[in-house]
Amino acid sequence: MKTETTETGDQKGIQTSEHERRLRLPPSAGILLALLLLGAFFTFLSPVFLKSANLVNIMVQSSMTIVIATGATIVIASAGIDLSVGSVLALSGIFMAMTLKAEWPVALCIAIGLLGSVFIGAINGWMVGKVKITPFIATLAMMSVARAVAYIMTDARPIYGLAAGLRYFGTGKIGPIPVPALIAVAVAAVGHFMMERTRAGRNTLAIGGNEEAARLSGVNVGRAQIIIYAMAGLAYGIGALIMTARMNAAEPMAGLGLEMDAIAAAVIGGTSLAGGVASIFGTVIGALILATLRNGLTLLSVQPYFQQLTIGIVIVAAVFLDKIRTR
Amino acid sequence: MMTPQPLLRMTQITKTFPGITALDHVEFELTTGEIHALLGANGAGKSTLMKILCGSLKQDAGEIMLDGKAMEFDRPADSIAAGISYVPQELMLAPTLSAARNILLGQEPIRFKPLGIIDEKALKSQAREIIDRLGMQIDINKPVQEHAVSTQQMIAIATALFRDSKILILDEPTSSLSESEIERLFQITRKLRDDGHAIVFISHHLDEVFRIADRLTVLRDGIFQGCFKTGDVTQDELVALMVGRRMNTSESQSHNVDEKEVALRVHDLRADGVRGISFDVCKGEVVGIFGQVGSGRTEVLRAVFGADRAATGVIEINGKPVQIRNPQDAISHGIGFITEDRKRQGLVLQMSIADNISLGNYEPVMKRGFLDQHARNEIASEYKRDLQIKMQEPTQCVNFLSGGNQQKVILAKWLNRHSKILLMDEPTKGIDVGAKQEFYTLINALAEQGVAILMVSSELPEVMMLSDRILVMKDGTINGEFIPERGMEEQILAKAL
Repeated sequence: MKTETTETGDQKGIQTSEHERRLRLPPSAGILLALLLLGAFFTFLSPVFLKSANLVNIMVQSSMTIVIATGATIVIASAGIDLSVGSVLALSGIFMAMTLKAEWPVALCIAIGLLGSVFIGAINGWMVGKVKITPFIATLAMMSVARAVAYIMTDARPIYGLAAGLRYFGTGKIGPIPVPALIAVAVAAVGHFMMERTRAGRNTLAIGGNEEAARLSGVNVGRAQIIIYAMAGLAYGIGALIMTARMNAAEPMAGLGLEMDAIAAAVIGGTSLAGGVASIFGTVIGALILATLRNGLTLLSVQPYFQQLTIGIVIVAAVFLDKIRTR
Repeated sequence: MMTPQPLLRMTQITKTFPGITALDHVEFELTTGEIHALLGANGAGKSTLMKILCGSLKQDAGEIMLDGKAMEFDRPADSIAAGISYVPQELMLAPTLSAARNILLGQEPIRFKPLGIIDEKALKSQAREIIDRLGMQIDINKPVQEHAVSTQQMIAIATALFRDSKILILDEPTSSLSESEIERLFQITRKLRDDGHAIVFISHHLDEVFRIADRLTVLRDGIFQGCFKTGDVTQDELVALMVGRRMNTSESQSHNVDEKEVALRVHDLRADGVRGISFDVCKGEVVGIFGQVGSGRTEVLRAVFGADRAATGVIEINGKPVQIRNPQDAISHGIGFITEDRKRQGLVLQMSIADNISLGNYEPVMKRGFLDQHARNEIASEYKRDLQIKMQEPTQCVNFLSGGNQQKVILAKWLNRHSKILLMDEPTKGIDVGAKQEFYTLINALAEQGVAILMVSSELPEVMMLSDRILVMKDGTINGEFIPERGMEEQILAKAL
């Protein structure tokens, strides 16, 4: 059984938390090693892999996954699940695009997109926390409803050619580092901080660990659930910002199946589906592993379907190894 | 003339768990064609002994002999194969399947081996045959959950019969039955006995036991107290054996109770299993609630704490009526609740000691809007000193602590909330003797400080030692109120059974 809650640590530097002094290596050591091995493997097989352009590519590809997987990690830590990731992302992107087309200020459009995804997340949280629908069903329903709304609002047509101000969030750079990567790091850092040092974060872990004990200790579980899913919604909205900026378009079909990536990254990263444990750092590595796998396999000209197969196997292997390690 | 060789002999059965000896060289014996009652207070070791007989647990020492042959049960299937069937208190039936399906579960007649298609006709006729043998009228096609509980019990017994078990263990079979249903159960049990089955009857209802059992075995604190023919012993003698004269050497405490200051007054409290009860607890007073499992004790505490949304009644705190609809309301009025099952309701096992102490109560550890880890650990260290919690560091996972220390962490959580009224449900359950004593000292200290304590316990010596007043609960009502003095044990126990 996992015995630590979260770990401090982000890409800027690793401090082991107090919990880990007592244990062997932090669990993330395992997947970090896996990531490095994976990198070594592809470097060996492809001369292009380690080129800076390719590494930047991996950073950007993983950025969006990191952002939405942070949201998913929070939900999974509460012993919930969120299947509506992709649909909420699409809808949020559409809000942004439509307001941009109406020539409103860019900042306002982004705010509207984010508010939209937060609001939808809050509805998810309300269904789970107050109406007491199980997360799987509630977010499954939202997945359909949000997607349908996206189609209806856009008449099933993509929205192209958005205002220039948005592009920065997708393709801009600060120094050599792409903006999406910086956004991802910021989201992960905030997510980690939230889990460790805010009431909402502790409540999330408490509810995931033992909802009844949390309730009987005075946690307002219903309200906490709304906050949990709303925060996840915010993360999906930021993901929508990155995607919409990069594609310079919003379409109702965006993000189909994205929830799988989000959940996979979280699970590979060591967040248990049973709840009560969260590792944002692990999620970041999980997302990097997924992006590295896709990138490396593409460089090796592996066909897309085989890529999907490989990724599926990696996910199962990661969870399996995790189970062995924590026995 | 009975065969000289008993059907079953369990000899010198010993089983220990960390900190507790559950069974200490216990003897138990069964002959064919008898109803044998197994008696003892909660925690006496009855379930442990039966779990060993059923193969769910393995004894540390001692032998099980069936028809003179020594048996090794490594898993329940071994015991079932040997002809022993266990009907637990919470009937293990598949609620949505029909009675017929349940009775033959796992042994359905198959029509076509490779595909495993069930032969419905054969299934139903075999099921019907068993039901008839029991002399019952049951619709064997209805899903089990649509039958009355008493009928479900019959179905559970039929399941055991189908396996042609020689030994049937009935664990508290009468707890949810009406008088007429109990009589029906007894008729069937007697019939089974006359057919040569041996039935172990576990119950704490002494009057029923006297009606049905041929012999009685009494356990207390894991020690065999004796085996008697029903006619050879009186109820009072049995109670004395179950309770024992051994009381804790420490004198019972009486606290400085200020009778004018009623901290908690409850009037006409009703909930599932609680039928309109009223009582008070004064500041600095320890009121003990004693009763058997199922008498409504936990439900009373849950209702007062707002953990049960369906509860109704009037609650007054310090003389003022209050609305308690959920745990947060209760907490805001200064009530704390140490639950019965610390692992499932009291602690988040994946979290650290410090986190559990601060669970839901973040104000004391907030600095500039965010959680201050240092403060959180400091508070935990304080409680480590005050309550003598054996732990290494506040950041240690609470899962690693012993039961007694886990219980102290939960107490620390409520002390950190400055609870003025503490509800405790079996606070020393599953704790070793040393930790129990420490807990008693803590409870007395809290009472001295003016905390009002309402404590549920099924350990009579404990309740008598700590309480200023004892309320005895039975069947959802208060059946008696005592100011504990030595020698009252039998009276109190009698009111509970």
